[in-house]
Amino acid sequence: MSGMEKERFFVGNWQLADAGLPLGVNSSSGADQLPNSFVNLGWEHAMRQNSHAHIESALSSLVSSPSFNAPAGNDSVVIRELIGRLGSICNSGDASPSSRYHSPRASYYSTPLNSPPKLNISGADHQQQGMLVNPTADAQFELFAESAASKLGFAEAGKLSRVSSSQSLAAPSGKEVTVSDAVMEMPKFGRGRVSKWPPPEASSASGKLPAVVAENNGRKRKAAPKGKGKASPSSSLAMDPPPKEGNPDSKRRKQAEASAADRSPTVSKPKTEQNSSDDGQKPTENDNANPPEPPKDYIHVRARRGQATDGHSLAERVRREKISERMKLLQDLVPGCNKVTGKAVMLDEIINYIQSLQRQVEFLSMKLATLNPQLEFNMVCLLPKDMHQADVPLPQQVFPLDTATSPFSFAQQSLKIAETNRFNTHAAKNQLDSSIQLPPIVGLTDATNYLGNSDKDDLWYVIQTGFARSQEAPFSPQTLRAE
Amino acid sequence: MIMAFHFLGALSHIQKTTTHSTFVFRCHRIRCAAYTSMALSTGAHSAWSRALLRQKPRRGSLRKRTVILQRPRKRAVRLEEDCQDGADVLRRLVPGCDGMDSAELLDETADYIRCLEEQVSLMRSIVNVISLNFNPKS
Repeated sequence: MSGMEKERFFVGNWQLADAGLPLGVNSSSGADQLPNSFVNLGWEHAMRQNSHAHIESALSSLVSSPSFNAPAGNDSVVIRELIGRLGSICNSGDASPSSRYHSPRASYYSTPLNSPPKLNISGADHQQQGMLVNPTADAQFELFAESAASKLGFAEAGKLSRVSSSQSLAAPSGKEVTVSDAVMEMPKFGRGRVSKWPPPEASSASGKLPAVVAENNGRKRKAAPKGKGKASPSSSLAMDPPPKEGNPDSKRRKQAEASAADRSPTVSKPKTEQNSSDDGQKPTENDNANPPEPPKDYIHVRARRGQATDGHSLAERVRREKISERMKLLQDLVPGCNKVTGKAVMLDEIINYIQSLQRQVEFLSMKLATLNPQLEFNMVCLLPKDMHQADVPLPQQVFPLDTATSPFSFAQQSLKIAETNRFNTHAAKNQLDSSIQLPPIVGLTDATNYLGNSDKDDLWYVIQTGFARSQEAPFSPQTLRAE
Repeated sequence: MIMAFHFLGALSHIQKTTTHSTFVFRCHRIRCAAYTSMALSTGAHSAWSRALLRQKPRRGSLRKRTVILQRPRKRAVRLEEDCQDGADVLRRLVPGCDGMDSAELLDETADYIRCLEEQVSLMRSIVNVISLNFNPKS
């Protein structure tokens, strides 16, 4: 439960962490000097309140802060060792990228740090110290390891995941021993050769970790950092099992989450390999620590379980999904198509709707054609409210006039009025609402331009449309009446 | 808004120039004006609007300002094999969608429907204005 709370707070604190805001910096007394401001995010609170988070923060501060001063405590000694070693390894291995990685890493890792201040895990006592007891904490460490794996390069990730697995191992068994074991084993494997790492004999969760790392090694790594940067790892990764989240997924996260239910750890691996072999044109990336830009010209697709994985059917599936997406959009456009399912019926409905709309256009144009010669529409642009009084008599004079009699004077009048007063649709709306007797007068926002264009005309039409959506309502009953 | 501007301008133009024409001719002109204003308001980024503007070079410069290159389709895949005749009818209805595959066709259809609805509502409101204007006075 505390783990779940933690997860929640992770997600909630995600943006805070990402923004890099130093939350609750060093507010605790007796706080040691933490080198990085990122790590300071609630770290001290974590230290004091909950040693559970203590370990997490300690581990996460491994990578972000090389010189870490742990507060006094039995386990803290071990942690310090661990941290020192890992920090040294991390820093020694990758000097320049690690500096780059500090901030994103810290932002990721600080999420657990942020949570403890809010979390009142008062129940967490120092009995749990040193080791992760909760399986959810393990999962979170896997998350971090996962994200670490994608972001940092796989050496550190391997180490971190190793640490977490050792931590999970340590939970049932002894305490400092396993931690120190982890510490010992860390320096053994060099950079990038995590696959040699013997899979820990512990839970299946930790057993996944080498698969994670190995898979990550084998796959193209380009999109993973960006992908992880985008999605909230705790939520998305918690949904999908960690091995699934590789590079190809980051590009189509929607589809990944949609078909998350279909995936299984064992099946996806051969599929993804087929995937990668199919999209052989994809530039395969070497095992750089730099996360290059994800390729944008290809749409990466994951084959679902139990479905064909050759290139044609994959492409076809993509297209089918696209088409169904668009059909959904069309369903929203066409009224009354919510109950209709199936492409054929839907298409028929769409066709009917388009035909009816086109028929309406024809009908209305007929109406306009009949109406036009009968009505000499000398329409005045509707003025803003302050000129409303002046407007009211004007149309009444104008409309009975024949066009031939006084077009120019009227045109000039309207021109002047239009120029002096900028009308807006809001004013028009109010006036239309208030003046039903006054014929709704239509005009244009750029009426002056229009006037300038057509000053040669005998007839002067300045029409102001108040045809905004809100005005359709008063119009529609009239429409029904008229038609 | 752009649609209203164009359409009303076209209406006024038609009003001026076709006082002696037949009713049918005027109907046709108004209808063409409606479609042209639809296409003008959409711009050139829809295939149907481009096709409409090609048919009717009337108002302003109708050069396609941005030449939208269609990426070369490997095959004009019509994935809706089961509703192929529906897709054909749709292609006939929506202008300028001849060589398209189903996905783009549906995109164009959605755009076209939206514009059509707007145009219909605009014309309806104009008719209302005119009829309201006309009826109480006569």
